[in-house]
Amino acid sequence: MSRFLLRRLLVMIPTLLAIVTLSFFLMRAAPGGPFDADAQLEPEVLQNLRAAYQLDKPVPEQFRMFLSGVLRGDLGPSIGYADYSVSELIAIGLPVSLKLGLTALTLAALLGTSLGIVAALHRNRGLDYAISTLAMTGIAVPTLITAPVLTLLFGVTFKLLPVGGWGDGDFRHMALPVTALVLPQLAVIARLARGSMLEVLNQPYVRTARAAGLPEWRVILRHASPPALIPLVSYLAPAVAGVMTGSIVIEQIFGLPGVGRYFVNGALSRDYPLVMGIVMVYATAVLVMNLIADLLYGVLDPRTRRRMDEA
Amino acid sequence: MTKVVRVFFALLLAMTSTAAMSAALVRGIGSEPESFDPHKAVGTSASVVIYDLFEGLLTVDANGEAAPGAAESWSTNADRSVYTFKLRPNLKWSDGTPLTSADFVYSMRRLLSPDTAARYASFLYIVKGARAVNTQKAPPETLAVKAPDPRTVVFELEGPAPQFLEILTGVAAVAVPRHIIEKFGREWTRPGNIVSNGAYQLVDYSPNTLITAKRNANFHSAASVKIDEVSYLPIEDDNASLKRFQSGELDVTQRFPPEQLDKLRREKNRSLRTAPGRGSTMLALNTRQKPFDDPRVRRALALALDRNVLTDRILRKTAEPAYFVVPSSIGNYDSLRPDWSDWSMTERQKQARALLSEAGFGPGKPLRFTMQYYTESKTRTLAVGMVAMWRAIGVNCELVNKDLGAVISSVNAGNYQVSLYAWYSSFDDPFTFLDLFIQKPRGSITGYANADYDTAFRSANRTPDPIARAKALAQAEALLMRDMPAIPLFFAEGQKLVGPRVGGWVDNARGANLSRYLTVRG
Repeated sequence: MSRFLLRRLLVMIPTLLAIVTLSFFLMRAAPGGPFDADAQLEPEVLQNLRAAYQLDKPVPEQFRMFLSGVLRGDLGPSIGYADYSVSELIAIGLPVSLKLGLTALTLAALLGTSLGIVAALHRNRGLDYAISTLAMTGIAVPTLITAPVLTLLFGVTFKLLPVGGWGDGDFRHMALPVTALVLPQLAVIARLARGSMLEVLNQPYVRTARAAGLPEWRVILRHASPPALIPLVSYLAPAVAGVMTGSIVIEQIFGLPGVGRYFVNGALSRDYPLVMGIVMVYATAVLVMNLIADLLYGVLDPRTRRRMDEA
Repeated sequence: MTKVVRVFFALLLAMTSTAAMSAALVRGIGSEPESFDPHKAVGTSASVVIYDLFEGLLTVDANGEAAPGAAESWSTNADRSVYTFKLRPNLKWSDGTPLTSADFVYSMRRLLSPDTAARYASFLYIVKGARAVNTQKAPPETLAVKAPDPRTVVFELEGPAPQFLEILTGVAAVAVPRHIIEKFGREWTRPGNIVSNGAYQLVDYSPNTLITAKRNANFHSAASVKIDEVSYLPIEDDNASLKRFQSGELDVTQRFPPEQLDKLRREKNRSLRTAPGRGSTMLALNTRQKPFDDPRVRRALALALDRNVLTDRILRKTAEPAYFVVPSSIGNYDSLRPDWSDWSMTERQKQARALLSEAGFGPGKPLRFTMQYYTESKTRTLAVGMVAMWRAIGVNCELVNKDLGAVISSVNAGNYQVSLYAWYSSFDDPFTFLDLFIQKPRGSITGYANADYDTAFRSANRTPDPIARAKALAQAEALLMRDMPAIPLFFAEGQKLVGPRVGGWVDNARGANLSRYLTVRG
């Protein structure tokens, strides 16, 4: 098990390096530069600016400096937020994105699995159809639509909740963005849970458990649920990264100060250091989450655990 | 059950009670300010905040006109090449430290020091020695800004410049606190560190969320400032900005979806406020390449565009048709209107076809080119409309859409055929618009190179008498417009939403409404 973990951790290093290298050169290949939006800068002024951010050096040299900065834990100064360093900005934005994303995903996971299991147990009956319809709607309607509708309804019409902003990250400010983030995730999870639960319920060991006279709740919770959760785990772990990135749209619409917004603004204004910093955060998150998913398979499925130990 | 109901209502009450209004002004400012350092900041959202926090020798008054700031008076020599400013007595920074003429000398040196890498440094190139300092050819101490006594600042310029006072109203020309900058370095603008000399001082800032400023008791006119606290919310999304304005959270915002314009115009309480803008939208033509090296082709394309259709039908009367590049809202300046602006469209099309056939284009060999445009409200419709207008004279234009940064960088690199381009100036003076077309080391935006125009512009710009200068500049502009390196399209108006609680708001072309002149009903 520990050897498996060690090997996976070692593989992450070249993967991360590949992602960072590719992003770095893709960013530089994109047309335009960080000082373009200012239109006609005098050449002398532009020269001073480029020198201040070391953009006057050749690109491979800049890459080398970037990598050595990363190894020292220094992501450099942001170009678009001139008073801050990239690390400071990530330290400000990441807690917001994490709080938002993890709250949404936890809610989606809890509600989604419960709804999915309930639907599976009422297969092809009214409740099942109701939940499935709800889930399909959730998947079909994009956040881009639900978010403005929610703000219009609860913010402008009924004036119950703030239309945007983060405040202190309190319940009132979180309610609408979290709801908008939860809905599509909830729908996907409910469908996944229903499908896999139905499959598990037909397995011989469930039949055996029932035949042995165990009470139904015990059959469901103890014997059917854990294996039914496996496909969910493989979905949930990347979804954590997905919710973090997916909240980019939400952060923009609700004006929340998360990293997603820095990412979008940074990419549009060609704030190279800022974008690179956030790419590193996202890439690490995806890699770590995938690793966690693999480890969880082991916990939930004895067969996988054995294979990991052999590895 | 009743308990549950009671809890529910208690919650509901808690939610709504915080919405009770306090007597603070809340301004929506669009994008996040890049910096609160006046030498590093760029763009309108930062300037809204910086105008409230800092003050230069000159500032703008409630009507957006240049007015005395830290200086109470000034004088100039006969040819307007030396300016002497007298500071108000007993000026102080917000921390109580005395503010003297030495602070202005320091601020100008810092603005021009190459290490600061200030984007707006070039506006001060007009000061003797400034360019040399900014290009590391001379130390900052050689800059011709002197402080003969604690209340006097003297600027010696490269030549006569009646526009110098206007340049000093800019955000980059404010005073910055040496004692704080040297103490905290890059972190000097953080709340807690920052010290300023304007009507307000920064007290709180969380990036992308909220900027809060409180009244500065040490401001020279603190007694006349009515609003105690100003919050600035950076909101990029147009829809979100409008909704937060409508829900009463924002008192002022400049962002809303353009498709809501008609609805906002019909509103009873008229929150929509407009003023002529200082922006000039044009088509840049790359005169380095065929076929745009031929002025006949450039003129033909300009003649064939019906600006009234663009401004009235597509932009729904939010812009004024343009037949020259300097916006009509620039004060004390009158561009010369070309005669063809009064012709009928049929006449103009006929003339355009004739010019094209002279240049060798016609039904057998139609003019073909590509036009790039950036994504902004209505730019696509405008581009499609112009393609149709050109088709009427037998010209084939293909469209390419790019993001704004890509458009500007390809224009700067001279790597385009025709490009949508907009130029804004915060100064009430024509020079920045006309300066776009003079030859520079890396070429002008259109590659236009006409030594006659360069001479006409440069000598006009250095005319000491303001009225004679304006006339001469207009002549230079007319010369430029005969050659048509860029086709003027329209001057877009400035639009803002101002809520019913706000008083003292005067719409102005500069688009500057300092919080110190406003009032807010509690």
